[in-house]
Amino acid sequence: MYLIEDAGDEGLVQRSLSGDSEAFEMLVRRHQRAMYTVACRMLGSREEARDAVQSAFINAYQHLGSFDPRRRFFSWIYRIVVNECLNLLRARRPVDELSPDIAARGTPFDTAADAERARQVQAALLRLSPDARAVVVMRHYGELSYDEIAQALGVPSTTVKSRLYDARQRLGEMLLGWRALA
Amino acid sequence: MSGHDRRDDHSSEELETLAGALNALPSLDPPPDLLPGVMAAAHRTRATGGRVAGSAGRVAMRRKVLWGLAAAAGIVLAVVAYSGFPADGEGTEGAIGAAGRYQAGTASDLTPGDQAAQDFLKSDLFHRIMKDESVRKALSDPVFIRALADPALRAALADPAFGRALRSADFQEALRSKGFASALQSKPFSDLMRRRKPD
Repeated sequence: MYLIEDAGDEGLVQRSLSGDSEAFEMLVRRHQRAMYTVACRMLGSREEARDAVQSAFINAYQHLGSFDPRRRFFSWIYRIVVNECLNLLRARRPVDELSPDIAARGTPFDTAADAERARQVQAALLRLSPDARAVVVMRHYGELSYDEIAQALGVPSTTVKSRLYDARQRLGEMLLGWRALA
Repeated sequence: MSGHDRRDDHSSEELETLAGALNALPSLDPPPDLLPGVMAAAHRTRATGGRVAGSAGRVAMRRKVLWGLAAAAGIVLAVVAYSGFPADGEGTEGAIGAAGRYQAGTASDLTPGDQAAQDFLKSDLFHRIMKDESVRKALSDPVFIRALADPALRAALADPAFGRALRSADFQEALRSKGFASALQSKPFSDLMRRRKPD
């Protein structure tokens, strides 16, 4: 018996294009956690992250016909989410509050030290520029290749590598105890 | 301190430590209203022919592209309109055969219609479409066969807006899109063809 849960992303996209809303719902179910996490890392706000992810999925739904089945759906939706986040960040006023505590909520940690470390990392992430944050988030949470990140951001791969290198250096400096993280 | 100097400050081991710390950040549970919000907006998109209303749908669908898809399928039906509607039960063979006769210029009983439609019917692009297996499959759908007998469809095909749609860049683009064949086979499109007239 055919189970929609077993279908690959590409098959679900095709079924969505044929008007099967359950197929699209399965795509959202499958990727919403990863996309929401990425948006939280980018935005530091659960509410904004929810809005960004919703907009991204709706955007994807409306443009499914332009999805290239030779590519990964995950990469495609990831790019849409990150761009949605970047648009929100650019529209923000500089004084807007960011919320590093987001890292320490929602998931139990083994120890209080783990929770504190997560909070520090999230706080450091939020102090990076949006473009630098984007490459870190895409590389570490999306596990996207340099080429995929480059395509998503519309910059050369060399720029991605350079931004990632600089961002890591900056994170290392901010996370003070660079060695204490070990 | 230059960037080059800083680079030497951190060993690869330390960089790995940082990467590990980044990777160790937990994934987060999405709020329960995320999925329903997306699906509600998706349903509204379909119900309104492309435009999303409400806070979750800031990105509006290009309605004209949707109509371009509808017009693309409509052209197939237009062939049948020019060459005579097949009788109930005749099925897709009649429709496709009529299209072939029209394109080959061997059908002498065709009624001239909009010039744009006639030009398009003789184009290479239309020829390729009619050879597409998915289009043939769509035309074999009983819904389409029944739609051919609908007076409203005849009126829609005669509408000047239909001719304008044929000439539009969106229409040409839609015809070449991967979603074209899928859209032809979708229930929303079938419903659209049965009850909608070009804006």
